[in-house]
Amino acid sequence: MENQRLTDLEQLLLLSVLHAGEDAHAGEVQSVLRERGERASSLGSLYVTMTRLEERGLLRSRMGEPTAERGGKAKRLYRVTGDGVSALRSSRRVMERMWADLPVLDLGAGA
Amino acid sequence: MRSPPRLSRAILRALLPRHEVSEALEGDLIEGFARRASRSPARARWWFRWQVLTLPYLALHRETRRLHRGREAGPLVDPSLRPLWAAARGLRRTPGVAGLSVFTLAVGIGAVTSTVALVDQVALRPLPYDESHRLVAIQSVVSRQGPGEVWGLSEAAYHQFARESRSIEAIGLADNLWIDGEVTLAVPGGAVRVPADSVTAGLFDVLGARPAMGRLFTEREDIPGAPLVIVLSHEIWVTHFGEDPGVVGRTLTVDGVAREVVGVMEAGFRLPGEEPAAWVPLRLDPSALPENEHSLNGFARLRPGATVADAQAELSALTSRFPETLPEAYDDAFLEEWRFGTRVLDLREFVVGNVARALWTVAAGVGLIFLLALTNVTNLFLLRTEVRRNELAVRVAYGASRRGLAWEGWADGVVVSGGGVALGLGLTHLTLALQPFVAPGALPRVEELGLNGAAVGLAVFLGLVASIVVGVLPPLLTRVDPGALRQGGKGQTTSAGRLGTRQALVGAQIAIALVLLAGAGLMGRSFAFLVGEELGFDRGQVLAFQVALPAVRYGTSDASVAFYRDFVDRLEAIPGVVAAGGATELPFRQPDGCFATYPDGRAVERGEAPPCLVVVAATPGYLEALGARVTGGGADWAGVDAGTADVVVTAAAGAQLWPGANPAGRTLRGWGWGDAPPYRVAGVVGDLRTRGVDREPLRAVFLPLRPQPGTPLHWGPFWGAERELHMIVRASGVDPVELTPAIRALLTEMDPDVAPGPFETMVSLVSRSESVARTRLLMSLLGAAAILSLFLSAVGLFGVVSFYVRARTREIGLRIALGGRATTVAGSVLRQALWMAAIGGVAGVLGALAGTRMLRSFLYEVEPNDPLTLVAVVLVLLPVTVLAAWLPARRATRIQPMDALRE
Repeated sequence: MENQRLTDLEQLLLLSVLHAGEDAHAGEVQSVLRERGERASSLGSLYVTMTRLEERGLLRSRMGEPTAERGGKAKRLYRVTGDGVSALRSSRRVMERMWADLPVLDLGAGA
Repeated sequence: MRSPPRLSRAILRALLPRHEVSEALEGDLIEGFARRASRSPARARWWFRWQVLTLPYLALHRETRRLHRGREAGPLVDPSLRPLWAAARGLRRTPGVAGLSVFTLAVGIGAVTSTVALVDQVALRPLPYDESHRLVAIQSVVSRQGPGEVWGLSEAAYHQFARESRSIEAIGLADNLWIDGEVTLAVPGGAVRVPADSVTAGLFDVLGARPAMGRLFTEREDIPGAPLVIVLSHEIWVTHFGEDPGVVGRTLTVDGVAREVVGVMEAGFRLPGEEPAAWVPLRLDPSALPENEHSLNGFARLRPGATVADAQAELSALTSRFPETLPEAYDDAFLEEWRFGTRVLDLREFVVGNVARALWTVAAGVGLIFLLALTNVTNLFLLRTEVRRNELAVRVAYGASRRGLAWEGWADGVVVSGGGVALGLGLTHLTLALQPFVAPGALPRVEELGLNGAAVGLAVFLGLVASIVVGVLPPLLTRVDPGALRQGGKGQTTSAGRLGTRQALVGAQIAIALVLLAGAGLMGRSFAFLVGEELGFDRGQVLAFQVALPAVRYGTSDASVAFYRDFVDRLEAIPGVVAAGGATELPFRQPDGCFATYPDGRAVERGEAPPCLVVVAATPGYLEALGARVTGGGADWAGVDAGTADVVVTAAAGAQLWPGANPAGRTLRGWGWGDAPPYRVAGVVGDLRTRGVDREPLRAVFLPLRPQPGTPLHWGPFWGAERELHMIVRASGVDPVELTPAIRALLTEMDPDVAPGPFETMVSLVSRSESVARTRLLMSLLGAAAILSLFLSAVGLFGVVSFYVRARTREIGLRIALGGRATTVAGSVLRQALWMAAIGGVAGVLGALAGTRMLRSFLYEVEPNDPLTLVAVVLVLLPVTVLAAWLPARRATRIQPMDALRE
């Protein structure tokens, strides 16, 4: 699956899952997304996007153990698949190609 | 325990399908809530609500995607809710209709649930005592004195009932004269005034009181000579003792007397109708000679299975035998003279009284608002169905069944009324939170007011009703004729019949608005009369507060009189104070009660009740400081010192004592002790209404502070000196409240052990008095209902006329093309609209004439069918109606004939 195009939010989300570490759950992903990615998103819409990414094989998930502090509800733990990582890489390559050789922007960013 | 908002959680459960992802999402939300709640519970609650609120939107979005792209909707969409998402998508195409419908229903539902939550809290919910349905209050009725007049229970009757009654399991007493009473309590850091009651130990058993710490006092501490004890309320313990557990067993100085604290009451406990207080034993003497004295509040617990009627019958029988069983205190003549009896009253009725009836009246008015909202939204949906008629006709042509259309319509209704219920509950939440600020003092038991299960349940039920009426009726009422499609749908103009339905609905709305406006108008006029009522004194610029002198150092009349004389002099020396005085009663705050008084020079006939007068001891100059007009004169301090027996009577008392004669110079005496010299009437004060603005002018005698030996007019002299006075201070040039610090400082300087009670202005005392506060509450609730109904019916009329113009566009265009003047056309539209308004108006006036009778007992100086109010209401309604009809009618004049015909 080489040509998996990712939207802006999908990229941010996959990266957030990676940042959140092994077996990330939605609450952690949400806070990484908010703090590092400067993107506020409701839990509901996170699940919608993550489910979509899972259907495309870019994320994998399993159910964890229920705990008392979660009202007896189990966690759903996510990790990025190999396809997910390569999709991220290809998105990055595209973006870098687009950014390259634009000295005006480079200067602006570096100043 | 912090937990997520219950309603949002229920919505969450209802929306999400059973799915692993849903479970994970719910868990994440709970965990996220818990993490945020540790920092700020309020923000965490809003965060949770917001997260839940985004779900329906997401689901709708996903469902749309599914339909457009054939993709699965994903884990957040419950397939069984699919028809609802479809309906929501349909409604999104007419956002105006959908939004207005949701808002209108929310207003209607919110109004009903707010009122019902109020009624439920105030009138329906059990009182906070164990098995409170078995609790009763016991009072003495004296119907000769006036309908509904009550006295307290006598000690003798209490002992009699406790011994003899079979239907009563336990009986207890609280001292009537201490209601609103306070004591001075020495606490860490000085003296404070706290509310206090003296009660029998048995009262705690009756009410099922339990201590939080230590114990309550026992029967053995409730007899004369027992060691002095006190039980503190949880609230006093928290406020004044910083929850110090060491307070139990400590000895406190209470009104200058040492009492041991034996326990702290459980939180929230209070006597019926009172604040949490400090409680001391009443210490009745069972061997005392029975006396004819009725100053105690009786409460009892019925035996399981016994009814209020059983107890009433039994106690009435016991009371009629008093002349045999208690001959020292009662004789047949007394029972006959006063028509004396005993009344057993359900405790809830004792506490809540006629406020409950006032609230049910409002609830009825508010029910009308819901009807109004419902007719309005139904109208909007009829309109929407009308617009979609071609679409529906196509679907019927393709085989859609009428039942299918009705089901679909119901889904529309559920979506709209679901939104209405959610928003309505939000409005209710807000209204209830604001209630204590809007009408302070008007309602008992509003402290724990909040959205409860009953209110939510009712909102859901009303929503269900609305969803059926709004969703199912329009497709059934609208004639869908596939045959008309053959003419390109142009044959489908609105028939007169269908327009008739809507006209009838609009007429009904206007009628409802008129009824509510009339109710609000009547309450408004009553309020104006009450507030404008001549009180017989000048309520402005007066500050009131209570002072109680400790018995230890002020045990004699000399000491107490000397203190108050000095105090009044020094108060009047404070800059800004023009006059000061004190009396044993405070206007609008005193308990009911009067004392039999015998006029000299006129025989009281046998069988005639002797005049029963309010007896007040007051400092010289008290009435003048109050701003009352006194003719003749009262005692001055010199007279007080000399021990003259000069009194001032109110004009109403004078008229009762000596009908048709001038009371000045006449004499009167209390009952029983006839040998001592009588009191002489030195002055007459005009009518005073200090027991309630809506009550009869006060019949009272004002006597000097120093009691006359041998001629008691009231109980004071038996207890020794008058040590507790309600002081009033009249200010000039300054806000009376600003005098508070100077008065406090003066008291501390005169005696650091004396603390003043709470300060309150006379204006505030009047406005918090029962009749004024109740009328204000009814006026504001009905007023809000009336404004809402006016708005809703205007919107309804606007909608119908708009639709009428739209449906007749072709016809109007044709008329204009044929040479009809645009204004004539608009005029005919307007005439039709006003015609239905007029029919509604007439129905409304008839409805108001019938409906406002419910308000009769709450009105003051206004008749339910007051013509002035009705005329005013019509005058308010008329311009609103004309405007609501004229705005859309004007559009008819702008119709271009060519466009109209081409359509």
